[in-house]
Amino acid sequence: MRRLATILLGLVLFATPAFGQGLLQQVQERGRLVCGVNDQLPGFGSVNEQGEFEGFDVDFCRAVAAAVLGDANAVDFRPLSAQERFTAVQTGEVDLLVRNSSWTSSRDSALGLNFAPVTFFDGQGFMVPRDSGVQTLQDLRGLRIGVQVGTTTELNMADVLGALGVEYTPVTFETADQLVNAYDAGNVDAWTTDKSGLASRLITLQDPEAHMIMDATISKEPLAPAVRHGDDQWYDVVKWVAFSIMEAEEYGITSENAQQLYETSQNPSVRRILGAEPENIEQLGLSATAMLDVITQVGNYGEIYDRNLGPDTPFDIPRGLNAQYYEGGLIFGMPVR
Amino acid sequence: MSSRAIRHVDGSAERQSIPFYRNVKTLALLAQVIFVLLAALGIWILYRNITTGLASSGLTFTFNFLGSRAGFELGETTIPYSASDTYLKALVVGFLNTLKVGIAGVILCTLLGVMIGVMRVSANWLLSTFALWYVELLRNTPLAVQLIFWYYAIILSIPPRSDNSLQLPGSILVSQIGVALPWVYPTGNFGNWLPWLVAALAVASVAYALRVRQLRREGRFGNRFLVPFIAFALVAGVGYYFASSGNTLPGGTTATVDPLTGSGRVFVDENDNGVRDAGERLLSRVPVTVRIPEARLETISSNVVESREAVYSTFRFPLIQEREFESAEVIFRDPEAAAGLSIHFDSYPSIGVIYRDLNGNGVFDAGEEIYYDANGNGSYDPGEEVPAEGARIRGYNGVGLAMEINGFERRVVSDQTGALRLPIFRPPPAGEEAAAEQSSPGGLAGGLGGLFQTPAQSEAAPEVEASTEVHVPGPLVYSEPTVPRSSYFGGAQLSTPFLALLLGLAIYTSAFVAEIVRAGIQAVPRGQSEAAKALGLSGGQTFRLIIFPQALRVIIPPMISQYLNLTKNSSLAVLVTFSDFFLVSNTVGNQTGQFVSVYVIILVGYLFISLVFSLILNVVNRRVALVER
Repeated sequence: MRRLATILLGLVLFATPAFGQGLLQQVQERGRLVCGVNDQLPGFGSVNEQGEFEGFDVDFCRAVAAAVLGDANAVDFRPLSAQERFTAVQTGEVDLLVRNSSWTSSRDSALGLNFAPVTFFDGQGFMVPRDSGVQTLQDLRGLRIGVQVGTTTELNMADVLGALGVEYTPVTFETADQLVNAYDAGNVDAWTTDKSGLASRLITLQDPEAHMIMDATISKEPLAPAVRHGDDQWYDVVKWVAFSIMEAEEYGITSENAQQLYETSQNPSVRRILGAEPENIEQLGLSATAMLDVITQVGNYGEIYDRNLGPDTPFDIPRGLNAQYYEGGLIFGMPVR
Repeated sequence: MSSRAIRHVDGSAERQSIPFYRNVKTLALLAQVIFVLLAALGIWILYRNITTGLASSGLTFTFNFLGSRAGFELGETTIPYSASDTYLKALVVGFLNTLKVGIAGVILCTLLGVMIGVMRVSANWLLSTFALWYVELLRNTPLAVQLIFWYYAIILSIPPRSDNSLQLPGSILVSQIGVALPWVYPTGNFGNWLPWLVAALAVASVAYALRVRQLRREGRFGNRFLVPFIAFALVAGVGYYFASSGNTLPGGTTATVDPLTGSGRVFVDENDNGVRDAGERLLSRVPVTVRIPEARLETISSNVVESREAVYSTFRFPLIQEREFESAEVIFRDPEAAAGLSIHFDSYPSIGVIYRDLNGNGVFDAGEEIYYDANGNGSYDPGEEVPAEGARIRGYNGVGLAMEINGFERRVVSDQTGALRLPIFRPPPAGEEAAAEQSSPGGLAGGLGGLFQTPAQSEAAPEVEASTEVHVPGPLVYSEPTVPRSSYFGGAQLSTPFLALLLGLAIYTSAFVAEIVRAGIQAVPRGQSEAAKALGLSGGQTFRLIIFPQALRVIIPPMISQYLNLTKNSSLAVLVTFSDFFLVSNTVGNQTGQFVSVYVIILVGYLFISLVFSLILNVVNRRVALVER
């Protein structure tokens, strides 16, 4: 009897989620950050020939790991499909989701997510074969358009084309790979996703020159990292890692000069970011030099962008909206002070 | 607390109490109480986990979202559905799709399975060996692999897109999009015929009863179904003729068609203004003849690329049959740009090749469709006709072509939403100045810089003249599939995902069904067939009248679980992109975040299908089971 009671008690205790300990402490105790990413979007999140994850979103995971654990490589990547991603955050399977996810009001509220600052401003577009003669959205009438299931792009397309009175046949796919293969094989006439995604996929087609991304942009897609509702401390950490790398670019702190600036800089803003004046970063529950670790190991916003999407990459996506605010873009790092 | 009396040798009795934990009755009761408590505790823990988990993410367990606007389109719908319908409607569409594939799969797997099962016990070595391999191969490989195999086996072997579909006799169209066949739909006038159908059914059942009695009286085997069938057909046929005289359409029924967008509607024009205003009723399944006296279809040539090399340049027009127009001619839209090129075109099936007439014989010969741009000047020079080994070949892509059509006429039947679809027509060249081509470079920079480029409204282009003639449909209407642009319109359409899922499920399950059938047949004692032979029954009669009815008793109970398996396995539909219940539910969960509620709905949905299936089959089972006295 006593044994049974012990087991039952154990079950009840075990089944109860551990409250009281925030995600920050949990991650630090675990020594690894679990990060949900895309593994099918070259440039943002994909697996390279060495079997390592790489990409713009992947680097943001590394930045958070560097801030929290001091080691940019202490990350376990969980590849998630568009369908799975939010459940994985809700259930705590991942600590952080950086998977080209658009920030919308329903996701912020009904899905129980908190979005960190937007790391990439995007818009939804369409890819069509050049010789299809499709120029405007009206030309999509009667075509079969491929879309990934469980995305905002699915909803935007229905909204915009519905309002224009353009009838079309949606063909839904579970993964981006399936979708692009079907398009390349001519099984769908056009496909839609964020324009960055279209650009990253264009080069993987059999004959990239035979296809084009249409001019029309039908939605705003602010892509932002997401965490679960109800853990303000963790949310703050993710938020300020993002702002810090943006500010670092603004103040010219790079992975090369960060250590030197930490030691010598007299600029109070730079000193606050790098932790030469420790209290601001420590208030977040991190070590004073957390952002120094981030910038030396991963780089500032501009470095991350150029490494994954810049002119030296096959994608060569212009900064556009993702330039710093003083250069006409929307990237505006809130002040660390 | 029970006790028992112990009588001592001296006759004195004392009552000795047994502790409750050694009493068998109490223990049995206690075990049950503990079981119930454990089960309750388990459920409580689950429930508590869910609610605390949801609460900690700021979510609640609710079904309120079902009434909200879904906002996504579905690829395959059995009832009218659009993005502005509710989540509930989307789930219903998914549920019906699952039901559709489930029912079709059950029928198909039974037919296949019984056939293979009978082959398996056949005395013919070839048949039984084939059946053995069929069963062993199919039941020993995963279903997911088979589904993907069928999907690609179907896709890779047929033409890629629907506008140059394979045309089979009987107006059947086949392409990677799926199969479309002519179909007969009940119309708004079906009610006229209904009494006749009921009467026909009554006559047929009486005929059946009489025929059975006659056969029994004469003590012979014979066909019981032929006479009732003829009676049914006769009454229904005569009824159709009489019912057709009462055919009507609601007053003011109008069909409008805009050839520039290729879409039209059939509706009741209450205020007689010729346009469909909000609230005016759309009419489904109404045949309309559309006539367009003069117009053109436009297209652009494209290179066909095989293994990263352009092989030749083709063009194709929307599928138009030769009987649908008086005359048609394919020309270059800009003859100057296409100087030196020739067109090779078969008006049927609307696909052609652009070539350079190298030997000047005016006819398209093999090898004339491509040239290799050896000096890289972007145009053809003499001597470039032979493609160099491994070189990238340039074709004549991007050349604008037009098909000038006179006297186009097509009979189309409005679909379930009252819509009509036609190819997109352009005005004839005389009035074409206004239709300015607008082109601008694509690319991410341009798009992101100008977020929300307002899509250009269709310019004040000259109209294409079109007239419509609405026909009064009979109780049934015959609808032939057409290809207005990239998808089928009209007829019955079976999409590739549906066919792949259906085939995969039916073939996989048929292997199990075959084994059940074999077991059932072999369970019938050999004496039965020997006795039948002694009575002088033929082999076929022995099987049909003696063996199979007895085998059925063994076959049906395990079949129920195979049917349930098939239906539940249909949730693998996502592999072949078929919008089944599971896929739609997942989408709903993803859009609303209400995964717990959605999974409760999924559970209830599949439970409902399974229970209904078992109920039906249990009734059948009771009918065939041995009646014991």
